[in-house]
Amino acid sequence: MHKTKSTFGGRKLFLFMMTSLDGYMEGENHDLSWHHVDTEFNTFATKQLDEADTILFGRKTYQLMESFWPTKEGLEGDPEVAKKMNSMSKVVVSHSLDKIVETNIWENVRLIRDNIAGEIRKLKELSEKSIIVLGSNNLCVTLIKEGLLDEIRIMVNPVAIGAGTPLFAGIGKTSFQLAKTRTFKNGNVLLTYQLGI
Amino acid sequence: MRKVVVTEYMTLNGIFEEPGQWSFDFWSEETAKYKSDELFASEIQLLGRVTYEGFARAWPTITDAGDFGVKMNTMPKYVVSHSLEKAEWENSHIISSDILGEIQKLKQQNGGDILVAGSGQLVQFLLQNKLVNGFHILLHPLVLGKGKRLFTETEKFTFDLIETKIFPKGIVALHYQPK
Repeated sequence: MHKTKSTFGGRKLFLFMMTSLDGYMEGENHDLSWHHVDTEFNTFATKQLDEADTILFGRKTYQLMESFWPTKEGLEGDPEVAKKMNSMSKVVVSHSLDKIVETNIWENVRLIRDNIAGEIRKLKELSEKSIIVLGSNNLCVTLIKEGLLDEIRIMVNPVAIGAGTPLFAGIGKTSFQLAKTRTFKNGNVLLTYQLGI
Repeated sequence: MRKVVVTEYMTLNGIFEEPGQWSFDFWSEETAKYKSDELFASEIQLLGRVTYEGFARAWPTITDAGDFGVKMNTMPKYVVSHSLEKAEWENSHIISSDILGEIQKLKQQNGGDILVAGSGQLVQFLLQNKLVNGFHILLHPLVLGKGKRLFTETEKFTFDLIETKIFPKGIVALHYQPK
């Protein structure tokens, strides 16, 4: 059966995650200073967000993004990405967050607290474009276990950091199908894998 | 001058030990040729004790690995260890003191590469002392629930990407040079 959409019908749910060369998605104390980001990356990130109409987050990544993109630093650092991050439909999955704060900059946020698998299946059926998950290591483990994640795009940065949170921490042995690779001038390598084939 | 080439099997979540337990699902003739070319470009193996002991146990008993096996068994091996008293694998030499000096002496020789496989602690030492020329990761398309990681100190090591090679079944070779 040729698959253009996910196993459950509806749109593609794909992850974008930066990792260090030694397989961490963040350093100690949530350190992300090792991320290699430049103009080429920002162009890539903008295009990638255009593939989706919804951004999905776990709580930690959500709070990180919320505290950065609507601020002066975020808006001036990369205006194109900031505009999209601030205005796009955002869905955060969390048992512990009890409310969402929307502002006239950070708009369009919805909270999922229960029946996560069911709600995400609904989201995949109702979306017009793909859904992108950014970071959200813990949520990804749930999505992979539930068979909801269709594709993972891992951007391997050319730096080893030695400690931190490993990619998909808590997961058991899981294999993926390499679909394509792309190298960037700053030494980042984007590896796209498919799941559930 | 010899080049020091570090070569590591790795999962997407940074585990590098015991690839014999997880690499075979993704093996292919092309990957075998890659590893063979790498070995035959080398004249010397430089290893930490744990990796050395693993190889020393396994390789003398492997009789069906053709030229690769012959090379592994006959080529000079230098094992860096303060505690190892005897190195009984064919053509083995122990480096137990003046480690930096002894390795620099090996580098000063003319000839094929010094190949470093596994050897987590030794690799970190080599990187700290700017002795590594090539840093090659054979990245496998899986994550593992547990296992040892190569980098265990919170020092950051940055690299320049030199090239990538794609192999069947999702393996990607990433070739870096330390900055």
